Amino acid sequence: MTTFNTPVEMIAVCDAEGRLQPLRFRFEDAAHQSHIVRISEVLSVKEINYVGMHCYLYICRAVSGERQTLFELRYLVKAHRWILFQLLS
Amino acid sequence: MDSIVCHIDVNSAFLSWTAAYRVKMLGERQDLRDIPSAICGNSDTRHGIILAKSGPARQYGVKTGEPLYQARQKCPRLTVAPPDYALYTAASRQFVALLKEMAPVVEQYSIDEAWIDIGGTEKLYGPPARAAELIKNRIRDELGFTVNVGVSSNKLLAKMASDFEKPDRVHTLFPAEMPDKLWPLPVRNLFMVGPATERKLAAIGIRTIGQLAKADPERLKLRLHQYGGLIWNFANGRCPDAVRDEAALNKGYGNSVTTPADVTDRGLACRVLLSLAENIGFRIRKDGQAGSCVTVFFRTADFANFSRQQQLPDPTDATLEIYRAACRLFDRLWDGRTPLRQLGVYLSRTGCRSGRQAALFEDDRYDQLVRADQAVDGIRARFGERAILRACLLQPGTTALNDALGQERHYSLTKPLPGP
Repeated sequence: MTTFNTPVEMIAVCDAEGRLQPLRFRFEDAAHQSHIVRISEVLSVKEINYVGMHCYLYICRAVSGERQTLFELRYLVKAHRWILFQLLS
Repeated sequence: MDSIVCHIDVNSAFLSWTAAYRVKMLGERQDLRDIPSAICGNSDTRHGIILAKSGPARQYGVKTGEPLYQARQKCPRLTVAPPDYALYTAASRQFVALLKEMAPVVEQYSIDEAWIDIGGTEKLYGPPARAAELIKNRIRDELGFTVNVGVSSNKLLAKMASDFEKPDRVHTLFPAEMPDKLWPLPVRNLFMVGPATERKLAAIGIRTIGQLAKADPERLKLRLHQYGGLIWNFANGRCPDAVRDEAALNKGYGNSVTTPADVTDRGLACRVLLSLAENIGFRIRKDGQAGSCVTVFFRTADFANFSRQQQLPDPTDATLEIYRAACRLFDRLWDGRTPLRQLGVYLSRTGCRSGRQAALFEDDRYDQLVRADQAVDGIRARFGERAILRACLLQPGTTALNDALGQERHYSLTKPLPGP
């Protein structure tokens, strides 16, 4: 499990009920190299409120060829920011 | 329906909130609560005092309120983190919001403490101790920090109970439990008893809360006046105050600032007093109150404290009137030479703001001042605290004074400054 806690640029869709679904995001790694990740599946969504920080936690899967990656994204409600929080596999 | 009062107290609030934020939101592995650590202001601006410490730091003898260098002498490996007041405000709001979800009546006592009355919720949550356990666990699991919950039949006993063994514990202290749990404790553990009272009580042979409870109240009143009766009632677990939804209005409004460098110039001192008066004026007007006793105090570079107060002819909520009274007092109190490190203003004897009698012999511009203050308050409410500032506070070298203005911690994070 690798913690990134990196802000990402996100393309997401918001449905008529107000639910957000992340689709694709771009981020820079430590070497300033840009990566684009297409989200294949959102496995779970959870609303959390740790220390008064209201955010939504998304466990997502991205599939690229034979490779599959599980990761956790967070949407910070007050700051309107998406974070790639950690890689789970 | 009998009251069942719980007092909920966040364990090492500032440190817990910073630690929980770092672990839960930033993904840090090291939890500050597990190592000797402390939250400390910035030493460069002379705010380097310990604001909160972890359990392991307490074992080294680190105390809240002591300077950082002293704490480091006791614990050289102390990890220090800066305070984050925006985070603390958010955490406190969520803490109270969760309590309001669970209890019909919630009274917030300070940023990290609240009383709730859960009388009548037995069928919903079970017996009081189980309800308290539920609340404690929800806060821990959902908000990421731990609390102590004290359960009793009144506010005082609930507060005393929440101070027993920490952290993450529920304690009950019903009147029948007082002889075992409360009375053997030293008298300084009692609410409202400080070191000075402890010394006075020790002089008449009272060292435990039980001894105080069994003392003759008339004898105590002779020594300690009305306050003697109050603490005697507390020692016997008597407290008539009910848990109120609405916080009581402040009895005083104060603010103080430790300046980044010593103040040796009257002009600068007055600008400091003005920034403090601005803050006090804003808060007292927001509450619709006015105060009639102004106190000024300062601490010299040698840590000697001085204070003086004055009764105003009429209660006021006008910034300039508070400021002028503060300057008059300051001029009487200061010799013009001694370097000062901290200045404070306190406005007390407050009451509801009402019409004021027109002054016959004085140049009374109160109505004009209030209109100007209201306009400034309106601009700040709409465009932010820093949307409008007095030009004199923008002078080079005085920008730090604006810290006395506009920071949320001054409005909601601290209790009114105690009388100096």
